[in-house]
Amino acid sequence: MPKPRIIVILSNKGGTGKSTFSVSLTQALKRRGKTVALLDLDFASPCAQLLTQTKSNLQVDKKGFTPATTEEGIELFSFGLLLSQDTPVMLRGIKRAEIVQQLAKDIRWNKPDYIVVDLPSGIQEESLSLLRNLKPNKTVIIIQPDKLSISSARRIIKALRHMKVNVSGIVENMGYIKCPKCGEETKLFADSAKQLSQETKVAFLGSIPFIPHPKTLPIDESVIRKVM
Amino acid sequence: MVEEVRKKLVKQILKKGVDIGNEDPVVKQLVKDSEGETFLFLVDDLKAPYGFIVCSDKLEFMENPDLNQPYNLIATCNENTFVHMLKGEDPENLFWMGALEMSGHGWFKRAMLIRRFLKVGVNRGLRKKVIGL
Repeated sequence: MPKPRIIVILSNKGGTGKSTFSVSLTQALKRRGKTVALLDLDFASPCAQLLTQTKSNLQVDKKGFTPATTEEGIELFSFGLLLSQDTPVMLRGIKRAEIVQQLAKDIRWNKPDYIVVDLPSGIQEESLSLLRNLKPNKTVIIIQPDKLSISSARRIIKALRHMKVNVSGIVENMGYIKCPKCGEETKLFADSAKQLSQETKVAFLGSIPFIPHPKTLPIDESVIRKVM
Repeated sequence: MVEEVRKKLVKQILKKGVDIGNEDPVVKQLVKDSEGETFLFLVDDLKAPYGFIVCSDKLEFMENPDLNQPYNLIATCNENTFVHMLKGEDPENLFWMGALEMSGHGWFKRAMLIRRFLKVGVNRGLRKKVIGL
């Protein structure tokens, strides 16, 4: 049985749309007939269970965790399925890293073709632990094409290279808005992920428009092919 | 002297909790599901070496547990956290907020298991039965 391919989604800044992209990617892969799992490792603001509207059917016993399943048939592990809505997570970094290490062994996935991992923003202890131990097949950075996000992205690219993690590409989210009447595209920010791509020599995978109240993102087929 | 009284009180509360738990059908089922697991719960900062473990088919109160034994899970809290639990604070929240320290090989899945024991204690009014409030 081949090992699942692991696609890690990350960014150095919050609010770029990592989680929505992760959920959308799993759904797109599922539509292509793949078996898919989503691992939401955000302790502070887990939201995959909200985006997929999944109730807590996550099981735990002494052997480990049996992930929940979304309506689309995607396996899901999210801390949001373990935490009550108003509980803050105040565990120290070393503890969070230990939990992530243990989850790599203790989640009983049902042999998926792909595991999409939604990491928390920034370079957290748990992200370092995961990247060191899991050896992802693809690593995708999500950015908004504004100065702050691009500046943060430079740092995370450097950090990943320092850890000898291959950065597969950059996806620009909320780069432009498309007029629903005439289809004209208007840029929302002055900067561009393409410039960052040229500067850092990390592949530019594609751009996603700003969508008000998104449940899923319209990810281009070309982007999906590149991250598969 | 004051510390001795507090130690004695913690011991009484834990012991009574274990006795009541062994009579409770929900706790008994949880213990059955966790057969063979050794969970040790300790109130740490009183230097009160009391705890309870799941020992094959029942909860067992321990006055001087051997900390060198390889327990599956050791859950430790200080006296302040213990008091919060007695006042009805959700033990699961206390874990996520870093007030209940867990250790042992593969402790996270077991922490998620033991939260069910502790939650049953709160939900089924064992606290009231233990301390009469």
